[in-house]
Amino acid sequence: MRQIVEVAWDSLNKHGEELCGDWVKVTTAPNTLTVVLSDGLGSGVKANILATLTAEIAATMLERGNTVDEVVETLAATLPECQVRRLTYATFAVLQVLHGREAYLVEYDTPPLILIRNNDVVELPMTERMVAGRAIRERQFMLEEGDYMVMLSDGYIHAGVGGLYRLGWGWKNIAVAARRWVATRGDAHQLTRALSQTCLKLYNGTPGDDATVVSMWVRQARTATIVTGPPADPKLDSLMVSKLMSAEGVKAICGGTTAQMAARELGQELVVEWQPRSKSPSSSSPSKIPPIARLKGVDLVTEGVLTLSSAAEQLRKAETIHDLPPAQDAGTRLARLLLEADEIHFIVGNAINPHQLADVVRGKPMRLIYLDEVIGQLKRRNKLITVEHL
Amino acid sequence: MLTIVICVGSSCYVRGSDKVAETFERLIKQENMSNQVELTGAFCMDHCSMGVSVRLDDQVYPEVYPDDAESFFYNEVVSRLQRGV
Repeated sequence: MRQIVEVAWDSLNKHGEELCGDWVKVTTAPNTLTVVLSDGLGSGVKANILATLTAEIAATMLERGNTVDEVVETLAATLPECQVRRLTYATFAVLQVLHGREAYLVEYDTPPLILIRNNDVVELPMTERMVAGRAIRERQFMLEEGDYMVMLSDGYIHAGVGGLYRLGWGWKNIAVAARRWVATRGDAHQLTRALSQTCLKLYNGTPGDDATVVSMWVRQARTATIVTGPPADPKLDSLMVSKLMSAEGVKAICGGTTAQMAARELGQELVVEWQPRSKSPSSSSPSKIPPIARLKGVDLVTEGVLTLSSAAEQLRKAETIHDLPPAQDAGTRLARLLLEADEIHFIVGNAINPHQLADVVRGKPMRLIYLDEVIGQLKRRNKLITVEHL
Repeated sequence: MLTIVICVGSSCYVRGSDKVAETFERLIKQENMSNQVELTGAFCMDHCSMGVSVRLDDQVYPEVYPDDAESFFYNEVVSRLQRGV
């Protein structure tokens, strides 16, 4: 099993500002994760531009293999100078993780990263050095399964200043709050939400500065394999099914005909979990999509086009698994399975169903158009998606 | 026992297999036939371009529409049971 870092973040805008002066950029490649948090000087448009430029430049350069020194030099040379303060300024914190284990952290004027391991806040001594006239702190360390990390902008440190906390929430108090919360073993999204809500409360609902938190949780990767549509050539049926059955992690089939093909190949019975309306629990609200089916060895079996369209709709509305309704219909279950996974492999059959209309303009079956939307939604959430056509 | 299998694949579902099922369910209750007939669902029966597919034991009727569900029930299901098939 592979180890990965789950990342979630949230920004609170300074009260009255439409744009945030903090910017988070997360990029995932098969073996590398890069997280950049930048805080631009001031607030509003100017800060937003500074932070966006900084984070995007840093993430792009690091992804291409440039060194941190080159990144800092480039930033110093390209960022516009603040007219008021005569400064070129945006802070940044960069965390690069290789293979979910080897971490490299660089900080420039940001609050230190909080690392929680075995319910303790772990100190990370940083080495300071000068690059292009700026003092950066850096550190290489190894991540362990179950580690949590929190990256903050200084809006968090100052939360509640003059109110509940005379000097603001402060790094130490935030670290303690995070450690207490982490004892519940929640995920990165829940940690982000908990810290963000506390921060907003400390500011009494009106943040005095842009405040951003990036939460990270080191855990085993969850993989899923989805098959949809039979192969164009029926000779490949058995190949498709054996690919699905030999895959690691959760398995799903989206498509009635595909499910029947798989059942035939496996020599198993396909049982549709259809219930007469009077017996189904949600008899008052008729489901808009067909029921699921059971097939031994496969975790979820659904109909194709309608279920994919419903899952796409759910993904438009729900950002994380916690936003999904508790419903058990096929579309919600498919969306839940997809949101739970980090690495999803789609095996797409190219058989044309002569009975279904293709979208005339896009020249594609509707099933694939909804599938494209689902894949786009998942990529936006930094999931690692691979697609294979048969 | 006669098994009625209603297709709930994409095409039949869109054409109203749910409504067909509802009608059958209501009629089974009304005619007191629940110990003679079993109602269940299945995916695609390969007649997608027609109506809703319904299978009575081994015979597929590919063109049952929600509006004809009631007459289909009396003409096919009930008569089948009366014939003792």
